[in-house]
Amino acid sequence: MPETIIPIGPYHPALKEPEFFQLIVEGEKIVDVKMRMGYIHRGIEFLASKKTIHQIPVLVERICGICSHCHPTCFCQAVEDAGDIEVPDRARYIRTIIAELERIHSHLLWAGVAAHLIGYDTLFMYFWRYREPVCNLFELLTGNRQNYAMECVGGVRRDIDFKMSKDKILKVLSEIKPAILRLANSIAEDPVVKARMVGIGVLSQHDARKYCVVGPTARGSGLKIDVRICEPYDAYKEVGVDMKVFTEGDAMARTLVRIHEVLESMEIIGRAIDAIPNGPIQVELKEPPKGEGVGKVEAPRGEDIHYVALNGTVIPERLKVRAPSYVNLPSLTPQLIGHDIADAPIIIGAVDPCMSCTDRMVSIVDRKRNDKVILSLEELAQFGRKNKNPLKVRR
Amino acid sequence: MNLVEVILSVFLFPGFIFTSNIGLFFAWVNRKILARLQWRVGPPIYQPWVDILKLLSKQTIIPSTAHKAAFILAPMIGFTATFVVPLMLPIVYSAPVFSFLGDLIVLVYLLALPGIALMVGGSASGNPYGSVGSSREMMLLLSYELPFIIAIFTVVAKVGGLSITGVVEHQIESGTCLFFTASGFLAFIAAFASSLAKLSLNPFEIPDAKTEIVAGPYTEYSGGLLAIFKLTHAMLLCILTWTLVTLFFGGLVVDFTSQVTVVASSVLCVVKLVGLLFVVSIVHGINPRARIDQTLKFFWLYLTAIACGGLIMVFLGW
Amino acid sequence: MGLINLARKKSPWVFHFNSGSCNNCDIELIDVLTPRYDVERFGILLQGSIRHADLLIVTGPVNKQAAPRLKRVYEQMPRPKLVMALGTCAISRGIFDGSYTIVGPVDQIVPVDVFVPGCPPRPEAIIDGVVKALAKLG
Repeated sequence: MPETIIPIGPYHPALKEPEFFQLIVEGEKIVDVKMRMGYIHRGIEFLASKKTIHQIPVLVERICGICSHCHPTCFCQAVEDAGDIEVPDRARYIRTIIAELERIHSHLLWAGVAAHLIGYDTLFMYFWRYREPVCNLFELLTGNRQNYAMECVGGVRRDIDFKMSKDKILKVLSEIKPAILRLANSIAEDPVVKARMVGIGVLSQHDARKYCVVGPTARGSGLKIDVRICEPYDAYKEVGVDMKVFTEGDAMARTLVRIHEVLESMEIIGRAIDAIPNGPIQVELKEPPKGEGVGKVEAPRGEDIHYVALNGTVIPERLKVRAPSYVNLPSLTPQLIGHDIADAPIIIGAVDPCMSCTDRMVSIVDRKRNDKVILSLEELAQFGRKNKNPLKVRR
Repeated sequence: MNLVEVILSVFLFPGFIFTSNIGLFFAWVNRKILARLQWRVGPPIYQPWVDILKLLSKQTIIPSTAHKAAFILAPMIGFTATFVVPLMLPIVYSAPVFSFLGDLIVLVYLLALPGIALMVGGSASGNPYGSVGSSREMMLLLSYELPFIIAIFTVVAKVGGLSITGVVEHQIESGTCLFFTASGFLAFIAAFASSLAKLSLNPFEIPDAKTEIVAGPYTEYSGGLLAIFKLTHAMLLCILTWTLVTLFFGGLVVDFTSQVTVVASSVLCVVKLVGLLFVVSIVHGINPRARIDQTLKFFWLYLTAIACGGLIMVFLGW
Repeated sequence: MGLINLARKKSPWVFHFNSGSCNNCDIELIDVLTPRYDVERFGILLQGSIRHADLLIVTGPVNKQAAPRLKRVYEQMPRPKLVMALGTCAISRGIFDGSYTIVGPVDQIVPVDVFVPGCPPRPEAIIDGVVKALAKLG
């Protein structure tokens, strides 16, 4: 049969964001995939080199709407790492609680979108209906349903009175927990859903390691990686995180990983609210920090890395964002080949792509010296292992 | 029948005006049940009428890559079928407006026309989504016609005749509907699943799968032509439930022996029709969409086996 | 004519175009269809093809890749058509003002009928925006 090209995107009702997947098909079977990104490139790193380190959390919050807490946290961690700033305990706990609430919200949103992709609109409506109490909680705690603006360099901007809101938070979580368990059962038991999701988009453990995937995509393929456990930040060491790993590597495995994460997040929030200490929420910066810093955060989609280079002024020299979807998307190629066109949306959806996080440039351009400096993965890894002499790493 | 009576029945009752209004009302019931299943309120009762009016008032764009004649004629093919079929199905009396030997076979052919219209329209659009949608509709048509035809054969064998009037009168005389016999029940299952596929409802909502192929064969249609497609779909909802009730539940026939039975049988007719619609909508609401190859396997293996089982039951006397 | 206008107001079909937004506005837009707000009560349906739509909702500051495609999508819409610019980025580039890749807010590319501000706008604001856009049809 002759080869045809079926375009998915760039502006497609299945995807909320524009991205271009060219599926080269024979009949209904996919034989090759070409991806083209860059439709949401907005020049965020360029804008970051013009704003102060107190304005940048507002900017990076709008890299992505769904992971809108983890990007400012990551940036603030990078600056605090560069300047050796110690964040107070209460601020770390508040960051943890908001991060886990956001994880619940993001996974419920994803579950609804995945159900919509296989045509199961009823489940889509139910999941988003149960997401509304979480949005109400956010409005109660932070003032807005989506962009919370809680972080600043050195801590959090606003305090939360947990004596007043603890009952409300726990009540909302205990109400949605049995409902989510019921909906999760209906995904795992329904024969048509199983026919659409089991065995679809299989990523073997070998391929997962080769493509360096992160997040639920990796945990669904048997890799035991989670930044909260491997390199704890905020209050995760005190509170403790349980990781669940599945080895099948298909779309159903990743769904189950995410459902488990939602239930685990509810436990973490309960523990964190019980253990939160009193104290200040923010340290004052006496002078702008100097040096290079890397922040790592477990976003709902995987490991998010921010690198910042500061030169002693409030305007950073360079900000680099490496979002989790950037490494998860190339792993779509082995997953898509051999499947039907009808499976393509759910395979792409199971990886939970966040295109707005992904569209960054790869190379660093030093405007003063007018040449390109590319920080390779080894150098980034070396830096992540706390190499205290940052200038040695730069060429 | 003289010419005036023919024209009145073609356009008024049970022809176009009656079927289209009942069809749009059924489309509203379908959407309302779906909304209630999804924990929502759903549209008000006048919504389908307003949708069709609005579509008729929009500009109709014919893309330059399309084959003009086929693009414009495709919706008409399905529309004509829905014009003619109500005249062959009995309502109120057990004899329909046009009745002749072998009209059951003609009914099966006419019910396949809307699917063919969609295929022609999709491939005439000149759009890759249209072609994929058209090929899916083609595969679906080939798959669901087989169990449907075997189910019709079962009914024919059970009743012993090829006319729709004969089917209805057999059910009235024997006192039980075909649904309550073993062979009729199996044939009903096959015909019901095929009807779901004809109406493009979950789990067989494959040709216009919004999240996979944009809008499938409907992608390039706009304005008046899209209105004709939507109206055909609504009328098909009415006609297919009417056909299933006629073949398996004793038909929409009113018993004129006394005043009590007139009222009782009229109410029963409405209950049968709307009840079947409820079942169709609920099945649509609680199922995701199946893949085309899974659907083919389902129809060709399982449903054909069930329909053949029904046929065998007839020869065993059940 | 009055009946046609009433029909157009009671059945606005919507198409959503993301020209580079961060997704917050898109989520709030999809949220409008879910049970808490349920706009199908007003006849609003989210369509897959632009040829079926009456109202084009654009989110995001328009970047260089999106600008020609936005223009083409607008031209493919059948008349009568309306455009809504959703979110601060679509109205005025928002926080992305000054970037090298942002071509301009939406009304530089296509004519806009209603602007809904907010980052992101609440679902109630989106419904209000649709109602105000429909008033222009009458």
